[in-house]
Amino acid sequence: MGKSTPSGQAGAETLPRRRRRAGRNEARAGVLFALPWMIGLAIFTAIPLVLTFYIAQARFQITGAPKWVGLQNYSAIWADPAVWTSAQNTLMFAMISVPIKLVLALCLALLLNRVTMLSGFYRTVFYLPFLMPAVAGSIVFILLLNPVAGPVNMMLQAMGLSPPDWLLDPKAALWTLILLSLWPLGVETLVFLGGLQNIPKDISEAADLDSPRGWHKLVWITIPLITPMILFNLVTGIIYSFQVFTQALVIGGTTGKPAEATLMYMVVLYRAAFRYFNMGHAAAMATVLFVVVLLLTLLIFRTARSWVYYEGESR
Amino acid sequence: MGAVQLLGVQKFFGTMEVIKGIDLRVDDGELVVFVGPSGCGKSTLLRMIAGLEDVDGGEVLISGVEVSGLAPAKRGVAMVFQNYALYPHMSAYDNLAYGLRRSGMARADVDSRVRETAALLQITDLLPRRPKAMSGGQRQRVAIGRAIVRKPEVFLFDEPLSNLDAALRVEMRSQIARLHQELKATMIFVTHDQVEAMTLADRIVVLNSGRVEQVGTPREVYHNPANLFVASFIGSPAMNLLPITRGEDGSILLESGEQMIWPGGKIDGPPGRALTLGLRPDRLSLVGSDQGQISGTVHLAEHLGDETILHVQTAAGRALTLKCDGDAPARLGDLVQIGLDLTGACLFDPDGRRVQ
Ligand SMILES: Nc1ncnc2c1ncn2[C@@H]1O[C@H](COP(=O)(O)OP(=O)(O)OP(=O)(O)O)[C@@H](O)[C@H]1O
Ligand SMILES: [Mg+2]
Repeated sequence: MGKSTPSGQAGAETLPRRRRRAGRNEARAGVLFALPWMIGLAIFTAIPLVLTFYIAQARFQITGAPKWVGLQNYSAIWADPAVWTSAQNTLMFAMISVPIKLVLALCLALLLNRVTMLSGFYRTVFYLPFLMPAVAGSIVFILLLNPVAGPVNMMLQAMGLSPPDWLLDPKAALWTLILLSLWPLGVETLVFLGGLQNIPKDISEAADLDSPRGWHKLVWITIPLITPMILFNLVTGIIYSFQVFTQALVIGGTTGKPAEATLMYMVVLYRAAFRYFNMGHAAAMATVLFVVVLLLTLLIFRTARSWVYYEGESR
Repeated sequence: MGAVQLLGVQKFFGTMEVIKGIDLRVDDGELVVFVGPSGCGKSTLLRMIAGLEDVDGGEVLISGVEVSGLAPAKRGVAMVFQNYALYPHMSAYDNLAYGLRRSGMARADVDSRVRETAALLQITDLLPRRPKAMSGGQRQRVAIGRAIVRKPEVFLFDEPLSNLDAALRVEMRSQIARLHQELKATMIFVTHDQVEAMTLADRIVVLNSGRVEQVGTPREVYHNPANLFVASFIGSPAMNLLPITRGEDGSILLESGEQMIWPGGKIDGPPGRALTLGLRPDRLSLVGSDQGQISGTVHLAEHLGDETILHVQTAAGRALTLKCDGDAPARLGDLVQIGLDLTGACLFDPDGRRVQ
């Protein structure tokens, strides 16, 4: 191995010591390989993050130097009704869309897991929406849901139903946004599908021999075995839904039309930063969001110990 | 109760016929062992009985009921898988209890059944543990426990011991034999292992490329193989096969030109009829010079302690196996004389059928 080690000395070394050195070399190589990514993380994530924390305590209007104001920005967002409305809307959005999305993705994955013919085709088809820009997808939905000429309402009317005014009725608009966010299910579905296909065939067959009911197997065997994937989708889903932005902006603009029903936290943040150029206000909002999402994630991970099964765990 | 009947059972994978019309009856309380070379369809047949594979032709009857429309869990069968297939996220207790709970059994009854079964298999200590925290043998016992706890009428074992080491395998084998006596249930056991088959089975079913070659007690298939395939497959070391011809007077004419008298009198058929003589390795022995019927050189000598297996190459290029005493003097490269004892010998025609 090492050129610097004369063979006589290597022979005299004890085995654990040699192994330790090999381990250290391996670790060094590992760090080297990860270095480009770590540099990227520092430049594009860590530094902006620290800057955000700093600007959150400053008055900064893009032009000119930031001026230290302490916690003033935080008291300003505390007093801003738009922040509260948007926080409420966002929470509502997250609480409804995340569970629905997980259930739908799981159902889809269970179906795809059964498909034997053309399975690659179906997987690609369900993944495609994710690759489509959210703006384009949202615009397509706006066209589809148009109250006068949209095909969705035409179909509903043809079936004798009175469809809601998807985009202009304040009661319906949040649901429209949820519907829209459910559309790209591909990633969650693929994650679940990976988990399902990881379940050994004989374990599934043993379950078939133990109980004739399909839902028994689903509830007691299948779902427990894919809890790591559920945890992953849950955490990423929450993070994503708290940051819902593009669809909300396309539907509701910066005012959350209609009647602030689609006013999301990120929209208010965006408005503060790029409409009013109040960077301090926006940064403080971002910091609050960061802390809330972090605490929520930690809370979920804390509870995960009791409901997530990890392979290799012997408890 | 508990009898399994196969009537002309067929299975296709794509266009390939894997099970080619099997008729078989396994009586209630019987322990039947399926043996056969790898890929002959043992697992497939077992899985068809369990309901894990569809039956493409023929019928499977369990306790006299045609089961093709029944879900696996409703057939009254339990299966022990080669890789245990325990539920990894559950303790041993829950693994055993799962099926009972799902069938709606009361909590207290589940508990007593699980504990009773655990005591029978001596796995009470393991009950709180997850499969990951158990050794292979312990997992296998829990897997067997999961099968018996539901008191099925038929047990199906697919090479359950093949992942265990030799000592554990012997122990589990005797445990299965004991269970069979205590539970008096029907058991179908698939194995690669000759000794397992011979020691466990009430009857052995020899399968070969999707067909039954012979069904019989271990003694029958060993001493009276129905054909060349069974003769060469059953027994370890394998039976010696020698080409012979019928002599003028119904005697045996060896390749070496030696003539021998067939114990039963005469061989049927015309003189010059080509046949194969099958002789177990223990019917061959080392004899003094010019007393043997065949001579050859020792190719390999396996000293197993109480006996020695000699592999001998004859002048005609045939490989023979002899089972002799542990202190047999033969060594590698020795030229030896071999005497043949024709008691219990078999004769096969060129198609592999047993003739005498
Ligand atoms: N799902 C399947 N699709 C296609 N062919 C299969 C399938 N399962 C089994 N086969 C084929 O069917 C034949 C019988 O397989 P089977 O598993 O029953 O053999 P086996 O006797 O159990 O072998 P082994 O002793 O190696 O376990 C083999 O030729 C195998 O390749
Ligand atoms: Mg098999």
